[in-house]
Amino acid sequence: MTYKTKKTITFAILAALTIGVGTAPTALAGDGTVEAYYWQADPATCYNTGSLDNMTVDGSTGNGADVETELEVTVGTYNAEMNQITIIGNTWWNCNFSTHFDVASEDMADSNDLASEYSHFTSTAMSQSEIRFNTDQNWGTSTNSCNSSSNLDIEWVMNHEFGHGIGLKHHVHSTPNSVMHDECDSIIANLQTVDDTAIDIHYN
Amino acid sequence: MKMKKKSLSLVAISVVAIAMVGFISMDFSPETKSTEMNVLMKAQTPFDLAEQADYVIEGTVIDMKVVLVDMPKERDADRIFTEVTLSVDADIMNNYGEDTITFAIFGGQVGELTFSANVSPEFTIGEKVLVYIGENKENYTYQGRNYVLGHSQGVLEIKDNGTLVDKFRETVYDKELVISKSQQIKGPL
Repeated sequence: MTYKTKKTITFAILAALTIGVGTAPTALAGDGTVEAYYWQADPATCYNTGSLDNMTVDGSTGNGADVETELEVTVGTYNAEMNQITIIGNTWWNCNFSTHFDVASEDMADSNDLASEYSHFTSTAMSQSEIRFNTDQNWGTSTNSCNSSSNLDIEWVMNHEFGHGIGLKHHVHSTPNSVMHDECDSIIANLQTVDDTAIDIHYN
Repeated sequence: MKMKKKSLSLVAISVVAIAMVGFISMDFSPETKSTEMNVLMKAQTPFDLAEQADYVIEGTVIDMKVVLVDMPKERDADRIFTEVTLSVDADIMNNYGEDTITFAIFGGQVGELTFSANVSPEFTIGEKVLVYIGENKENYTYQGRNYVLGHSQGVLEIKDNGTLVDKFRETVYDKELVISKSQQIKGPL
């Protein structure tokens, strides 16, 4: 084999390797769903303790009480204190997520909406979770209530919304048994067995 | 040998060309391709919704159109709505007074962008429905488009047997009872 032939073959191999590297990122699932993009993380690292220091409510009780929440966590900036979140005793995560969480309030006009969570996906991964509390509702802390007339318990609802933020969907059951129940109910105050199972499935 | 060299060169050039096409088609952008909106709602019955509705319309679905709305949103996917048009068969509560009504629901797909909402109602062309409509307030949807109160809860499928089906809650109501109670709340037309 001549030097030129060898050179050509080497070049062809390199080019072929380039094709391999150049494969486009995984597209959305064929059925259009995004379930394939739950994060992968070691569940063992998702159960530590910490505190949600930055979440506050302004103390108003009237209609339109402002939820002054501000929680900005990115992989580039969060530290040992901030990458642990506990909501009323439930530690949701302490994982090396590349997802950016953003919590704020918003006037949602439809007073039937309590809160919304927006999961944003790039073509390869979930990139951001936005949690919004409806300022048309009355909010409070430790109210143990899903009734806005006596102030909705923001920690209960935060529990539920963080569930979406880590990739869980609504759990519809005639007998509510999940923090992801699709209606505000005292069941969302705590992580339930079915939630632990769901998290294990998604993160294993 | 000359032919062999030529073939090898051609193979190499082809491979390089394919590699370049692959490289160019790579998606390097971290842009949002899809958004999932998860809403925690209050559970509402049709009677609850009647107290809040601006209109209750009995109608037939005649058109659905997905639109990418020109509005200030951080992400393109969040600007996708579906406009649903009904031919108005009857004004059940308050007089809308038009032959058709159009309202917007969250979600849809435009090209590779997808916006899905776990609570958005689903419609099919020709379907007969009773819908609880809220007039657009504070630009809840966009550009003056009405919305469905309580998302999926605000749409009841009308069955031939005189019942209304809440597909979201899997609950069946008597149509005449729902209509009469709705009219009691805000008075007959």
